[in-house]
Amino acid sequence: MKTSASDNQQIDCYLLQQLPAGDKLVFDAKLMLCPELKDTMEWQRKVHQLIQLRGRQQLKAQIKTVEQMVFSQPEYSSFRQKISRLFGL
Amino acid sequence: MTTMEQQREDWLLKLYTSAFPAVAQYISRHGGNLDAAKDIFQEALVIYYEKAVAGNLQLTHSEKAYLLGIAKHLWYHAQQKQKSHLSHDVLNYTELPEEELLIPSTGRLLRYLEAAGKKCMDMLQAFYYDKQNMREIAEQFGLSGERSATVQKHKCLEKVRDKVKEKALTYEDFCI
Repeated sequence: MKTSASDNQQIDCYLLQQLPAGDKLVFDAKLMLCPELKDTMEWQRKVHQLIQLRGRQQLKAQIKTVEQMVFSQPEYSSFRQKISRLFGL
Repeated sequence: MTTMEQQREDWLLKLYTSAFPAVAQYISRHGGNLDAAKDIFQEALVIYYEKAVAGNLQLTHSEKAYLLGIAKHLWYHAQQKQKSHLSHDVLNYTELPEEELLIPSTGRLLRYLEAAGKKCMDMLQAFYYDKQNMREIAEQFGLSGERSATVQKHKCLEKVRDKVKEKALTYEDFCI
């Protein structure tokens, strides 16, 4: 089902819990009355979850890169010494 | 690397050098080793980043103090979990399953979406995960303005949603 940009935006707001209480009630009613809209919303929820997962994976990879920099590059040797002393290394 | 990625790397580097020593000292004094300190700090940075971009941070102390607070909380819960093997929910953070617990089809689906349209995935991630506004997205993706970015993001959402639906229905074990 193709949805309009404004429908997509409303689904986004619903999923991100950004709809005012009154609008949320109206949207809940729409979902009950329109199975196609509910179906679209559920798939959009899955896209949100996948994007969240991808974003978190990429952030973790970037943190790992930074960790490798500070634990290997010469300019961070005093940092490494400080950390090594804490663990008696 | 994009400007945004470079900015984030600089930010992470600054936080790593300023805040990690205090976290490492705390973990060391409470019986943990260096690897445990690195793991806890990584989780703390993810929580901190997600709260910061979502605008849910009201810092009354320094970033360093805030990160140490999150790390102490995570360490406490990790210790409790180890002791009791009870399930827990840390800082409302674990709403998504950890990557290693994900069923294979989720990873397969992400790889498929990546191959089918990396630019769309990048744009949706900029909007939904990094919480960039349309002006920033237009600039990052070389679009003429906010209106063009909004249209493009709508098209990407439609495309990715259709692909997720199409592929997910072919994976018997699909579930996230």
